[in-house]
Amino acid sequence: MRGRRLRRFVRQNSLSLVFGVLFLAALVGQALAGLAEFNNQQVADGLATVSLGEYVTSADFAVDVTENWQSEYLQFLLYVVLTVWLVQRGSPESKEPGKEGLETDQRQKVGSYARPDSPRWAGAGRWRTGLYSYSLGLVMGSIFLGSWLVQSIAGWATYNEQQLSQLQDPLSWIGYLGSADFWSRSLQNWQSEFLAVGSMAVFSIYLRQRGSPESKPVGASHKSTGVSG
Amino acid sequence: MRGVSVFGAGVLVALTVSGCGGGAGSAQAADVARSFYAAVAADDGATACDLLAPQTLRELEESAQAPCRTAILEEDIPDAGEVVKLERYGNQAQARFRGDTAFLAEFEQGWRIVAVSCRPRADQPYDCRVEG
Repeated sequence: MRGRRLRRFVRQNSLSLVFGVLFLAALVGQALAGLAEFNNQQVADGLATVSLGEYVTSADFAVDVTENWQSEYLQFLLYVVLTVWLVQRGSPESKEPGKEGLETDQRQKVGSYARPDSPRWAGAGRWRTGLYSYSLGLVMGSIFLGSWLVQSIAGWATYNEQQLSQLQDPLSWIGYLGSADFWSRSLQNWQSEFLAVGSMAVFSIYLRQRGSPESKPVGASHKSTGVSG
Repeated sequence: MRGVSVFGAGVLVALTVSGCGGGAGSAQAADVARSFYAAVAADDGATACDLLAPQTLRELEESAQAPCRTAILEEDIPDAGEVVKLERYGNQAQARFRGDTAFLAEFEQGWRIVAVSCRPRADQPYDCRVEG
């Protein structure tokens, strides 16, 4: 009985479970590869090597992890928010032209239009409904800003460690926020995310992935927008 | 409230991993720098050389064509005075004294002097009389 319930749970949540496992496996791989690279450099410089525990709590590891996190969350934040107002004719990722904007309460099933199975805050009214109506963007935006802040602090420490090893003065945190290193790390990630999202919106007009909800049905017209299959 | 504390914890973790904000490592680095200047002032070249990074010691002996314990005392290392500021990031540190600036790094055996008797130059690394 218990085994059947577990199997059903795994089947019904396979997408998030598989991505959770892939994330952890990749993070462990990054930690091990990063540790080897870090210690190679330490040995070459005649400095003390570090343990895995020391490495995963170091600024070097933190900046490498968070510079990627912030850009991914920025990408999804922009995608979630901009697709409210911007459309791409023919893309399954877009609303149909003419439906731009926040839409009516009736269509969004909020306030008095909430249904019995709607989330409680959708029908609660006032600030609860207001907050819940933007909760996805708010959470994605908070994770983006939090990751970017941690990147700035860890990147600052890593940069200053390098400055000192080259017999140069360290920078203040505010000084680091205006440095080429901070913006190079940020922008090199942002450009790839914007390219991936933009090309996905355009490719999905003309190309198909049979069975994927991220694609239109194989036989759907190039002109049909907001249809997934 | 929970969101704020999670956010605060993230920043705290970032500050901890960044290795800034002093701590035992900074105090040890400052002690090593002080001991080095004290040894030079006391003409104790052997102790001063024990506190040099391996690469720095090698460079000094090669350029002076003499053992470190005598060469280090010929370098006119200034009287440093008190520590004005110590900044440490990871395994690197800079100790600013009233009369001199030193750079240190953390090795297997502890903090060692990488460069000493250093003068700042605009937009360039410090110009150091002794460096590795």
